[in-house]
Amino acid sequence: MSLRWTALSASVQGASHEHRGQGNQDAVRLKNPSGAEDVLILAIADGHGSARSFRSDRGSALAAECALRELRRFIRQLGPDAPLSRVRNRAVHRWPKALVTAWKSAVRADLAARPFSQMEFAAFPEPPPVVKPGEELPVSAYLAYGATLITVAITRRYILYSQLGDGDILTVQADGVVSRPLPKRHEFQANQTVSLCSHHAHAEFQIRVDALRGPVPALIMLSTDGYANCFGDDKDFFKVGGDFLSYLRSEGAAFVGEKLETWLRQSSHDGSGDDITVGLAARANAFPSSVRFG
Amino acid sequence: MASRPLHFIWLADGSGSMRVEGKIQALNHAIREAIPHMRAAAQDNPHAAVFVNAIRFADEARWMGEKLTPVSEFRWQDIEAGGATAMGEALAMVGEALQPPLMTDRALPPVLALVTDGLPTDDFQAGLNHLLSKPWGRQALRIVVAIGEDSASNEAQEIFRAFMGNDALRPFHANNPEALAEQIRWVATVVLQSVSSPAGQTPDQVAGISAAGWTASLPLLTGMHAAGPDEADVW
Repeated sequence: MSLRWTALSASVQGASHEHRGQGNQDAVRLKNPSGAEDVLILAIADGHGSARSFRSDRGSALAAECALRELRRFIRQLGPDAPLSRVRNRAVHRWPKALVTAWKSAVRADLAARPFSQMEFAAFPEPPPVVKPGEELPVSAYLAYGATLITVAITRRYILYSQLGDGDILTVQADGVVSRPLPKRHEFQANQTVSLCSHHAHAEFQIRVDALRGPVPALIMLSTDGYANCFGDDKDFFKVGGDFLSYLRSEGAAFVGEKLETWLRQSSHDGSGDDITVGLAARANAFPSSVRFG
Repeated sequence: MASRPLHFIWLADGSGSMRVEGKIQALNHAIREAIPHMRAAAQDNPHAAVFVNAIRFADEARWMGEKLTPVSEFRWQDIEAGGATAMGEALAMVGEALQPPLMTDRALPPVLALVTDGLPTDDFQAGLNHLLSKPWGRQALRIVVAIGEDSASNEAQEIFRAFMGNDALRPFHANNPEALAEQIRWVATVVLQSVSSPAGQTPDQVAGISAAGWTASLPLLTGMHAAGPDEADVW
């Protein structure tokens, strides 16, 4: 049986990065965007993009890919009938560790295939780290690939939200009310964030599992911090969630999918200048039957 | 759409020693002349909204204007010299300001430019500790323009190093009005541009430099002890 959800996404290079010739450090991956299978997964990662994180475009891509694979495995292992209390418990205690392990393993593999060059470490005092069998890589190696990650997995029975570091997840109810399923972490200021390269990164994940009954969101929006930073405050930022819902209702998903990249590019140009990535997961039965998805 | 706020704060020494050899006149002239260049530098980056303010410190520290003054509206008010050097109080005052509601989640790391000819006469360390106890105080790019030969003493250099908190940074030094004008202009333009520029243009915080590119995230890495790059990377 198919899910009554569908998803779309767009990712654009920051206006300021374009000016500088720096590539997009964000990544987005979708699993089952048409909702044809039993789970829909959306993963968005934001590479740090600093001088020390010179491979963070690859790091964010690996993060999003690992998230799809590990979330799917996690949900399948739980089975379709697992009690939600068990889902929550495992989501908090197992999923983050599995993801961080998978990402670090992917970084090791990437590094084995493409070792750091002397040039990449020319500005730093230490020599480039190398992959050695049985030896853990130094933090500087993971830092080169550093990225934050936000995901949502929608099954027939529950929605699993997860966030490591900055970025935003918004839910929009059918009546237009916008909220955050996970509280914003205000302790990190001045661009600081935890990320996959932080020590004990698994302990920094924010997790929430909601049953798919009662007030189920009509729309879930995931975005990298470059999007929220285009708005003066959260009040203005939240409006965009309602705007997306309105467009989906009035114009349909195809229209939004077609326009999304242009809108994000304009936002980066007029606002933060940063890379922006947005993923939208929409519940089909929250819209008029005349609106077609996928 | 909104650009991200960036606060640039001058910490100007108005103590009695600044009266000697026309230093205070040179400081007033240098900052006043630098403001148009600062505006031009800010205009080059539409993604950052630059706000400027200043604290004058002598017997006491005092804000010179409203806390949120867009660079386009900022006017330098000449300061007079006289009294002691309450530098510690000025730092504590900045620390108090660099908090919500002035500093929002979307703010960029601020710039603190200390312009002085000598040593504090109050409890500098207490003021610095207060500043550094605030997240935005720690994240600020803290730079020094040192005026005259007294500011080259070991004691003064130690104070400046403590303020900057970064071995890769050195104070700008000016021994005459022309040099002071040049250094001030450099701070008001090049430093401002690099702080408000995209990632990669300046060394990152993880390497020990506070001025990360403003779109770059700064991962919190417990136990990361990488040394900073050479001075040439910063300026």
